[in-house]
Amino acid sequence: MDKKLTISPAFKYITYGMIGIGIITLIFGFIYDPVKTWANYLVNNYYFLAIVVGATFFGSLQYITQSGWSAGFVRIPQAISKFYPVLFLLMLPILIWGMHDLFHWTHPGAAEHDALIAHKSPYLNMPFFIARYVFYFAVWILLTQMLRRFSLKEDIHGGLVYFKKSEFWSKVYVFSLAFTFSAATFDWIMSIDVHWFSTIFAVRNFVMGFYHGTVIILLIILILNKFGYYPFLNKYHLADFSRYIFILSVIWTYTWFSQYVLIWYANIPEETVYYLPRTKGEFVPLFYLEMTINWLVPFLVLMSNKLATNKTVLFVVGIILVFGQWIDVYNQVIVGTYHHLHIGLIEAGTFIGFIGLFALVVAISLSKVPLIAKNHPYIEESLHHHGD
Amino acid sequence: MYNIDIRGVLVKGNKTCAQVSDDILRPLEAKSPPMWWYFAIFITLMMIGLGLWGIYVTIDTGIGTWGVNNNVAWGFGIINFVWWIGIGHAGTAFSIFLLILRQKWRSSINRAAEAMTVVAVICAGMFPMLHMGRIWDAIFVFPYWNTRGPLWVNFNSPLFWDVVAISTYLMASAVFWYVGMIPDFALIRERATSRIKKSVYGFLSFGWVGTAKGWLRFETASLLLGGLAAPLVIAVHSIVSMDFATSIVPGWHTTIFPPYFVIGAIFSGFGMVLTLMIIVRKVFKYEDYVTRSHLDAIARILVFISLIMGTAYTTELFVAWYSGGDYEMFTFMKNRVTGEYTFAFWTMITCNAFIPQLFWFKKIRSSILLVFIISIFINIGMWFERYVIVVTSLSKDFLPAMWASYSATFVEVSIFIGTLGIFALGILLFFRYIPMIAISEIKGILKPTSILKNDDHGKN
Amino acid sequence: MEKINIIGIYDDPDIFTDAVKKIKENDISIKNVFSPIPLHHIWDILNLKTRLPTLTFIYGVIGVVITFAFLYWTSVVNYPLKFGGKPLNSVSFIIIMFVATIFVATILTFMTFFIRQKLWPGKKVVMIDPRTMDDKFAIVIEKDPSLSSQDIDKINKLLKDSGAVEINEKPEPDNYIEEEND
Repeated sequence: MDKKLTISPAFKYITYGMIGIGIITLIFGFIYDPVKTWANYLVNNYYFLAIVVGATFFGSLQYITQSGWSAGFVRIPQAISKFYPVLFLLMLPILIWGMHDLFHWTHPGAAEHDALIAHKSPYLNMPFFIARYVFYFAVWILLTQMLRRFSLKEDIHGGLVYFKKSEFWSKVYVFSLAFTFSAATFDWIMSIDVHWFSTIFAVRNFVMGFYHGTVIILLIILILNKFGYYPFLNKYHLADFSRYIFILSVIWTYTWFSQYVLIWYANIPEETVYYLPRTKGEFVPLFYLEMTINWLVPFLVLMSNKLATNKTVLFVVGIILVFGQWIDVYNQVIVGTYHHLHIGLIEAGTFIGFIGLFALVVAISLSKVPLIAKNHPYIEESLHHHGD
Repeated sequence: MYNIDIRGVLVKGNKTCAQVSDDILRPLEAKSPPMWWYFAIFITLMMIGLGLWGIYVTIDTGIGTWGVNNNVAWGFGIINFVWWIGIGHAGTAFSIFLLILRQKWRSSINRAAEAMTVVAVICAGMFPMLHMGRIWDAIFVFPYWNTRGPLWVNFNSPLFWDVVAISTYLMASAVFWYVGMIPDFALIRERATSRIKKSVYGFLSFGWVGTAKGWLRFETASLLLGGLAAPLVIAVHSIVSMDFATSIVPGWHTTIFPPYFVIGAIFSGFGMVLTLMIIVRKVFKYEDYVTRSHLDAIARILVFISLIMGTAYTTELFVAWYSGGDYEMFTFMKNRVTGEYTFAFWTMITCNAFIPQLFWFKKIRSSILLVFIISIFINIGMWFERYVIVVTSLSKDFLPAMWASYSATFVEVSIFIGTLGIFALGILLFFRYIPMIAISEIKGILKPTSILKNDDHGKN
Repeated sequence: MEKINIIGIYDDPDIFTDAVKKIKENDISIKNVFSPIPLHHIWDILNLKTRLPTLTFIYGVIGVVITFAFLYWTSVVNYPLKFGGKPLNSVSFIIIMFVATIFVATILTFMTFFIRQKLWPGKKVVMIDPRTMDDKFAIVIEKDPSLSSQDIDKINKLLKDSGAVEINEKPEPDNYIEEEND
């Protein structure tokens, strides 16, 4: 029960190597093509932000709904939440050097010639932007670390006190996410296409994060299980996870389609300006690939109960979905910043670097605490989960 | 492994399966219903009578008897349509979404919620038909082979999507509800003593006997239909929202409408479920089955849905400003937040986003009376939400010369009261003749979730 | 010839499940089991399967094809009328296709369920033991003439040992319809 994760040196070297590749790519990229590199940097930052938000939301949801089946895995979202502070630091270079290349509204004098940017300037201005960024991260880091500490204290002291506290603060966290993450997506992604707006934007991005955050949790569990951790993992857990992923893929498609079809149908120039470069011209393949990967793959594969409880199948689907989310974020960021579809070394290198960093941070924070929350009140339900 | 120490038992009183059947079937097996039941039936019949009068006037004289005009062409008819459809979402939401989230407490409530769905969808379906004005031509909405040349309905019209969605939803929820009741009908058939009862319920039970293979097929079929109905329920209200959102009317054309309507529908559905269950558990003495912790669970869900509603309202207001569109700004700021329809707007905000937040406090959640009052507020708030959406946007759009106000006439109000009567009548009949709680499902969860082990708890 | 059944009655789902397992392991042919609630483990023990999910998937595919064919034929072939600047073969077909597919799949799934399970309104049935609708669990073993008295004793003993509260030996009711476990 008190088993801890031991990080093998090989794993460490691999992640160091990946981070190294990332750093070299970035340095190389900033010299040769700064706009593209900044755009990629933002893609990856936002990619992992969405995943951390989604995964921690998944963790909180389990507390709020008093779900028993997932109680054995609470440590994983908690470990992922440790990536918040790293993301906070990773965002800093953008704020200092990258804003001009990414956000049209930061250009000096942009507001003078553009009535809409002038109109939005009470919200979109640097001091307020930075203040909001600090505020979001303060709230997220504070609440998630609090939740993590409750769970660790529960390990030592037991009892229901910490569970009740976790439940309450999970609610607070979800409440704060609703407003902070909405605003954060507006800030960091929607304001790239500064003239465009969509009310469903935050919902769509939140669902994207929740969807792929759940996938990442499952992937981590599968990998750890391969190395002998979580021996109690059975097909009912897998069925529950695939049910989440299946439903979330449908909801993701739903929000994606709602945004697209309403803009397509009403056909107002203010709104169609967003989809024009995405549905006509060089970005067309990605537009369809995004839908295929994120919707069709899980929809067709996970429909069958047999495939949905097969570890290898789930792992493959999970890996495909990792790229699915990348394409999703890429489509949202690159079209408005770099304007060209060109996936090459910079894209691959940056992504590898971020994955390495993410894996390292999560592994280290997982290795510091017992993998199983032994005093979680529903732990027995999870260890002997049998599907009803 | 279900941990009853923390979650609380789902059925109180250490009941056996036989006791469960006795308790739930008691109102059905009573010789005659209590006096208040006849009184309530009488009231609902009065309401339906009033509604029939309104329908008669509408059909006989025409749609001019309503308060709608050339600009505000959608009035009470569409408001009530959306409101009823919203309430009709509770059944599927309970059955499916809580199943996915593994919430066992849904078992005592889903049957009532599903019944509510069916009646509410029937109520909803009446309004668009009446709104057509020439109800005898209602058949034209269906795409059927006709002799008017090659002439088909407009498949690109959200109004046609509505027709498809509502009919599918009515069919699917009715089938789901009925199939779920088959084992319970079979139980009544075996228990019935009178010949009439035995043959009626025997007829309804389709000859169910409960073999292992039968149960396997039954469960598989229910799960499959559940899986199909979950996207359906989302699709239905999204399509209702597209009646508004595919237009370019300010305040209507906003991309958040589909999820916002779905959430709103689930919100009003849960609100209505809460209202009903509080009455039912009191009147039929089902306190052991619909326990305080059931009500507590619904209340806790409502806090969250209310949060999402609040976020959606805020997003709409923010983006109305952020978009920089003058018409959007006018609609939201001058015609909703302030202006002619301020009252409706702030009622909506208060009832949907603020009052349910009181459920944060355990004291309030544990007072049945307060929970009941708040659930009523939610029903009112959701009605006003539809009022705000339908009326404000239409009353003042792009051309000030075309502005008009809307106020409902007595005919419209009486039709609304009539549907309330139909709803109440449906529920009353259902409580008398159909088991209100899914008996076989309760029995299924009884042992792991409710029977206290003697060695642990029997001592005191 | 009149059939005689040995009926073991249990009153606890878990004991019942174990009992069925034990009897199955002893190679005794179980004619049928009756329960008031679905018992998931019994399906594994008796090796019962259903192909309903596959059928539903096929129905869904049929639904998609039929709906799209219909929409395409009406809007592009039979009555090609442009409105609202939308193409004839429109993206918004997806919405109708989605709902209509669910419509087709739902109806056909339940038709299949009723037909395979042979349920219809007004079907007359006689139950082996009506209490299995309420709170009893029953296992029915046919007392075949070929069974020796030793076998029957063994069956009775197994039933008793596995926790049966009652063991009845009854002739099968006249109008009893056996449900096939195919």
